[in-house]
Amino acid sequence: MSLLNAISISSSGITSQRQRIETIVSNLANARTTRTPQGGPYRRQEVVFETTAVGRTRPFAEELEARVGEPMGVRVSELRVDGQPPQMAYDPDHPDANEQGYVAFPNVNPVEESVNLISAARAFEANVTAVTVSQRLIERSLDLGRL
Amino acid sequence: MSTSGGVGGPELASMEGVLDFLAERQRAITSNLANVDTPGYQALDVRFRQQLDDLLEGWRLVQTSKDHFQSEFPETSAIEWAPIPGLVDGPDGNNVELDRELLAMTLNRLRFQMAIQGVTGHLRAIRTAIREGQ
Repeated sequence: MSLLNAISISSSGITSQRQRIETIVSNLANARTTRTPQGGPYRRQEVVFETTAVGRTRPFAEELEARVGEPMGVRVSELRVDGQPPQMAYDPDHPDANEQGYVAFPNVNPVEESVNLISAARAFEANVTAVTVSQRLIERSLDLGRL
Repeated sequence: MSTSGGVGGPELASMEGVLDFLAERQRAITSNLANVDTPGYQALDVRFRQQLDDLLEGWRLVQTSKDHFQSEFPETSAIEWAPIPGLVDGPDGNNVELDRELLAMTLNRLRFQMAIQGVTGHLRAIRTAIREGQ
């Protein structure tokens, strides 16, 4: 039933946006982390989204034009480390300062991360709303059986 | 595609076609919402292959005789996925507009409710006709 597939699609959106939110929160929490077990400052991370088939996709018609695909879900294909260099700041008294007195701070821009967080939260909520709507459509369809 | 076995006549089959169409549109909307941040993803919608969307918008029963209404609605198999006109690609190649999709989902839901009421009314009329015929 296509509406059940719709719920699977929305569910994949919820999961993916949640992973994105967790990544952004990690970036924000570590925006000033100058020391990590791997050595050096925290490195900014980002998720990479990719369209993916979810559930059972029903073949739709004889010929499908290829301008768009068919309804698909989404998944995180990669947790990518940002390749931008760390931000250097002069602070010779800092315990992690180098010989020249500079400290390597994470390549995290809190303003940019906050904007991304708002965007991810909105997308997350939209997918949750979609689940509720699909569920209601199914329930109303079932009501047809009980007049 | 008619699951009612023809008992409701062509009118019921047409109404089922409406419900199928609207269900597939909901599926298209969920795909757009799930991929609102996917690079390169193009938003999609449903439409009828023969460009008969206006039939859905201005759908009305045509009275062909004093006692008989004829509804015309394309078959479900004539549905296809199509790009949405008027959208602009962002820097990552994604053209989904979150607000447009949310509004479309609201309108779709209302149309679905209207179609359900149409089917319910039709089935009740059949049931009444059966009872009164006994």
